[in-house]
Formats: sequence, C-alpha cells, structure tokens
Amino acid sequence: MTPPGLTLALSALLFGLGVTGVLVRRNVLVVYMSIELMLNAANLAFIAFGRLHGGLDGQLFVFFSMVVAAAEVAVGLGIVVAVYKQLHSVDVDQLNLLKF
Amino acid sequence: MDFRPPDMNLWAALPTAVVGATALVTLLLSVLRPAGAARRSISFTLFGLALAAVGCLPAAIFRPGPSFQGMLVLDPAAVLLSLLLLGATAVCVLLASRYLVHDGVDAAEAAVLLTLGCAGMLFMVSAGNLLMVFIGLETMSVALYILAGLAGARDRTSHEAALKYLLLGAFATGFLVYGMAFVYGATGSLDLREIGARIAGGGAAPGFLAVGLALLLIGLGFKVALVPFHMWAPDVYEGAPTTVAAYMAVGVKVAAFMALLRVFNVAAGGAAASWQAAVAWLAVLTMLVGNLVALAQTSLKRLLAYSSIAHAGYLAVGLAAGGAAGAQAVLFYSVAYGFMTLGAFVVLLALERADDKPQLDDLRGLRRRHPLLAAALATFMFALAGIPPLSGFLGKWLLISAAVQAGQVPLAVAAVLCSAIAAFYYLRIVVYSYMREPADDASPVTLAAETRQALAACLIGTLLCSFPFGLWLLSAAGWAAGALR
Amino acid sequence: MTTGFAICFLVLAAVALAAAAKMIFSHHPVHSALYLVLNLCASALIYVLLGAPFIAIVQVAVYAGAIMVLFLFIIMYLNLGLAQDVADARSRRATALATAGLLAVLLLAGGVVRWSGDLAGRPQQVAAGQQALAAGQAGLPGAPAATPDAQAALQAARAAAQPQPGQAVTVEQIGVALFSRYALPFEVASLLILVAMIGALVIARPQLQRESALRKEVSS
Repeated sequence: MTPPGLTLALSALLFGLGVTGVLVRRNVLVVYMSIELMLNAANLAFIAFGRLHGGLDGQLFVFFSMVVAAAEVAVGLGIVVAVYKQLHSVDVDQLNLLKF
Repeated sequence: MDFRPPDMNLWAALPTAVVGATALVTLLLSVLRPAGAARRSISFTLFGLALAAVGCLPAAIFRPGPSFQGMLVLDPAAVLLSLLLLGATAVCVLLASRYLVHDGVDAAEAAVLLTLGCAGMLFMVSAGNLLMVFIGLETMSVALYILAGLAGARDRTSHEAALKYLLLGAFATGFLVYGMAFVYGATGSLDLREIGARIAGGGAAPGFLAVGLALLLIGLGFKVALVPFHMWAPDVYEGAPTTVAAYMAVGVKVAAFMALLRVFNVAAGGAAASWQAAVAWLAVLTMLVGNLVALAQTSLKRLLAYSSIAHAGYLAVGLAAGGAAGAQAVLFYSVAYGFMTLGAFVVLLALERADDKPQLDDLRGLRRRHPLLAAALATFMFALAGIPPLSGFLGKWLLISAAVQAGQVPLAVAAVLCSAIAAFYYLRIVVYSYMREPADDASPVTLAAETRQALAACLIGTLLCSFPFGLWLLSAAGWAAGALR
Repeated sequence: MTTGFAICFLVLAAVALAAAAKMIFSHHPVHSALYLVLNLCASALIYVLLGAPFIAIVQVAVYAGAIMVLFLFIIMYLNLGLAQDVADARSRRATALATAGLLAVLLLAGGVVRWSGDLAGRPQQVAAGQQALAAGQAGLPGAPAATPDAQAALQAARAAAQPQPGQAVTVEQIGVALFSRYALPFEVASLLILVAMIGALVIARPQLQRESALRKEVSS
C-alpha cells in the first residue's frame, strides 16, 4: 500500500477507537478526550490527502480545526466544571446523557 | 514568493461584518458604561441587526458572486436565509431582554452571544467552501453551548442541557471533519464549486466521496436532528432556556439545512445516486418517529421539540428530491418553518411560569384567558399542521411536488401520511385552547410589551408566507434556487 | 517509499494506536490524558514524515501542550479519583464495541478496498477534474472576467506557490496562504475565539459574583 493508504488506514482505526471511547466511557472528561482523538484522526486523514493532492488546503484545514478544537475545549471544560459544581459528578449516566 | 492580497469584495461581507461589529460594540459599550447597559445593548443590537438586513440589499442588487477566493457566496438564496436568520435573532434578542434577564442573565451578554451565534449562521448560509461551513458551524455551536447553560444559576437542567448539547455537538463535529477530509480526498478541493465541477466531470474518486458524504450526513444530521441522530434534541430543548431553545430550533436548523443543500444538492448533485436514497430513508424515518413520538407528549416544550424533529424530516424530503425544485422547496420551507416555529415558542414563553414547564393542560380555556394569544397559537398550529391557505401548506405542497417531480413517489406518499398524523397533535392543541374549560385556579395571562412585539413579528412573517403573499416568496425562492451553483 | 520511512511510520503508527487504546481503557483520567498526549505526539511525528512540519509544531504546542494541560488541570481541579466506569461498563462496552467495530470495518472495507483503486487512479483523475473545472469556469456566467494574460500569470503564480503532490509544505507558504486565500476564515476564527472567551467568562460568572459578594460582606 502507498503511504497515503497506510495513513488513511491508521486514521480510520484511530477514529474507530475514538468512537468506541465516546460510546463506552461514562466519565465526561474521558468522553471528551475520545472526541479529541476522533478530531485528531480526521486531521491525520486531511494531512494524508493533502500530500496526495499537493497544495495547501489540507494542512490549512488542519490548522483551523486545531483552532476550533482549542476554543471548543475551553468552553466545554468550563461547562463540565459548572455541572460538576452542581451535581458533584462527571458521570454521563447520572446526567442522563447519551441516552440512545 | 509573491503575495496576493485577498479578493475582498466587501459587498458580500457587509451583512456579516455589520453583525460582528454590532456584537463587538455592544460588548464594549456594556463594559465601558455599565449604567443602563441592559436597555441600551438590547436596542443597539436590534439596530445593528436591522442595519445588517439593510446591508443584504446591495448584495441582492449587485450579485457580487463568489468573493474572498470563493470562501463567501452571498447569492440570492443566502440573502433570503440571512434575512430570515437576522429576523429570528432579533426576535430572540427581544425575548432574551425579557425572559433571560428574568433568569438572572446579563442582557448584554445574552445579546452579544446571540449576535455572534447569528454571525456564525450567516457565514454558514453563505459559505462557498467546506472550511467556511465548518468554522461558521462551530462559531454558532460554541455560542449555543453557552446560551443553553445560561439559566444554570436558577435551573439545574440548564447546565445539563448545555453539557449534553456540547458532548453530542463535539461528537458530531468529529464526524463532520472526517467527512470533509474524505470529500477533500475524493475531489482534491475544499471549494464547493470546484468540488461540484470535479464530481460533474468524473474527476472524483467514488469510494472516498461516498464515505465522505455519509460522514458529512451524520455530522450535519446531528445538528438538524435527523432521526437516528436526534436523541439529544428533546432533552436539550427542555433543559435550555426557552428563548435559546427557539433559537436552536430555528437558527441552527435553517443554517445547517442550507449547508446540507450547498454540499449535497448543489456541489454533490452530480453524485446524487450515492446519497439520494440514504437521505430519503432518513427523511421518512425522521418524519415517522418525530410525529409519532410527538403524539404522546404532554409537555409543550417536548412536543415542540419533536415537532421540530419532524419538520427536519420534511426539509430532508426537499433535499432528497434534489434539483432546482427541491432547492426551492427547502428554501421556502425554511423561511415558513422559521416563522411558525418561532411563533409557537413565543406563545410557549408567554405561558411559562417561574417554576414549571407548560403542559398541555395549561392551555385549557386560553380563548377566555387571552383571546389574542389563543388566536395566534391557533394560527401557528394550523400553519405547522399544513392547513390550506397558510405557509405550512404551501411549503409542504412544494416539497411533495418536488419529490413527485423527481420520481420519488413513495417519499411523497410518506410525507403526506406523516402530515396527516401531525395534524392530530397540532389540532389537539387548538382544541385544548378553544374547547376545554379553564381550570378553576387558572391564572390570567398577561403579555409583556416585548412578547407582544415578538408575537406580532412572527405572526406577520407567517402571514406573509401564507397564500396570497406567499406566492411572491415562492417565486423569490424559485429564483434563488435557480441561482444556486 | 524508502525502508527507513516505512519503519519510522510503522513504529509511530503502532505507538499512536497503542496509546489510543490505552487511553480509552485506563482507569484513571490522568492516565487517559497522558496517553492521549503520547498519541498526539506520535501523530505529530507522523505529520513531520508526511511533510507537514508546521502542523506538527502546532500540534505539539496547541494540542498536546495547551489543550491537554487544560484537561489535566480540570481533572486535578475536580480531584476525580479512580473512574469506576471501566469496570461497570461491560454490557455497554459490548454494544459500543460492536457499533464502533462496525464503523471501522465499514470505513476500512468501504474505503480501503476501493482506496487502492481511488489512490492508483489519482493523477488521471486530477487531470480530468482540472479539465472539467476549466470547462466549468469558462461556462459560468458569474466567473470574474479576466484577460487571458492575467489568467496565465495567475496560474503560473499559483503553480509556484502551491506545493506539488508529495512535497513538504513550508511555513512561508502557510503564512502567505493564511493572509491571502484564507484571510476570511482567519477572521472568522478570531470571532470564534471571542465567542469562546466570552463564554468561558459567562460560565464562570456566578462563581465570581458570589465571591465578590462574600468579599464585600467580609470587608463591611
């Protein structure tokens, strides 16, 4: 397989692991870290495709996606702390979160 | 290396620039002059939003075309939905000045967050590039995560709603970015027009494209609450302050559907075979589940949440139909849906008491307690149910005829059947407010000035989308859909 | 692909995968965070291998640095003990693993099997796409009217500024792109950061207000 192919396989596996983490874990912080793993897998795919196509689009998207992730984490952890102060728990099940 | 300044077509960026500037000035004013900041920041925000609406007009006249290297496309469709979103934001700011402030929220903060969220939505509806869709969506979402938790000091469920919305929103973002990566991989471009040209020219890798579009559909499906991805919506709408729930139900859905329209219907229109069936199934599932579960609800807020899920299904029918007819139907229905849903939420806010969420029983005898409110509620419910002369009927008629034109007759039949189910619970609300006697301890309903203004705005909007005037909007939507590319 | 490249890549990929798996199944949130840092650093090195040194540095500085420090700070601030959920979540794990496994298999099967074809046919497809694009742009009424000379100059400039497939991207190229082609997203990103800043303050506000009220009481 070509390097982009290998990188894409790696990114698919990392993405799958991230989704698993979101669905399996109940600790909100670990769930959020798993979401970061998913984003990282997507970034990896962007870099691989960027190398395949040439040009700057892939790498600049990754740059912006990191900016977005940083902003989202800042707000997200703020909300986690606010919830923890009220409920003294960061358990997804106790919050009735992710009810499928 | 030579540096090329960006092609700054400021006409195209005028509305969004005005909205952003409004937020910044409101923020600065409220910090520099805290005395009387609440009233001033609300009126200044409303003024800024009106100015931004005026700022859309040059774009409608001069048709600036893609600007900022194709990042921003303020075409007629974007102008139409920008006007709707600016109006919806203005109504929500008006409501926030009354109800969120009641919950102990600073008026200036609420206004600034609503305005910045609106800027994100405007970038989304006029995005010409996947990157702009992504950043616009995130600006909108981050503002809404915070807005959902605004009433946290008073109401425990508000913070919970914020956390739930945040986690599922971020989860959806993961799918969205991964999907964008695959679409980029398939076509070698992030620009929606280039993507469209490559797909039409057969220069797109089919495997990557199918995976990418599927992931994009999941990511945006979470945002608009299409059925397998809808489970957050009722809880978040119920926990969030009602003003914010109304903003989510209208703003997020309209902006995200425009993004779906641009990505699927316009850019990936050449690869319709790979996504049309999936979108059609999601539409059927969404209409069925949304309407059937809404039947069983007694909490009005949850009922409206499921109703807005069902309406995402109707909009998805237009998406699945594809082509100019489908785009026209989605544009028209977005505007009609925006006004009628916003109106229903305003009535809900007027009925809300300090400590409990309004139930179906709270509507008993509304005709006697406040005849005007009852009449407005009946109008919105008839419109949502799709009773003939009103906006909902025109919208559904457009959607269904688009589906029939596209040869998707089963989809059209499903949409008709689901509207029939929906009529039952919408009409039940009217029956409760008109034909049931009020409970003995029913308190009289009084409307604040802001509520009256918001209600009037939604009512006028709904009537303007309804039969005689609606035909004008219908042709405008048709024109805008024809100019989409 | 040289052998050295392949060995580096495979080792880093193995590290990244192992760290990700350990992150998900660690009992202690701090361990999870540290494993995620390891995963992010391994990914950063893969970025270097793939010709994205700038992104690699940003990844280490922003992601593995700032974001993960924030995570660790919050974990320790909330003083969370051992997570019970790893042990309790057996039944959930079964369904979730099935779901995620299905997703990964779909991605791999729907992707990898056809990827080889998609990747192999790349150059021809790019050429076909560019032809189609040129044809499409010629036919578009809204396309800006430019003289042939200007267009040729533009394309030459683009070719000079754009890295070719397989080439590394320099920081200079990214900087120039960020302030020309990507100027608008850059500005919107600043709005996004403003929203996040206001948001973090708004969320922390009730606490701040209570504290300042307390301070007033104490002083009076």
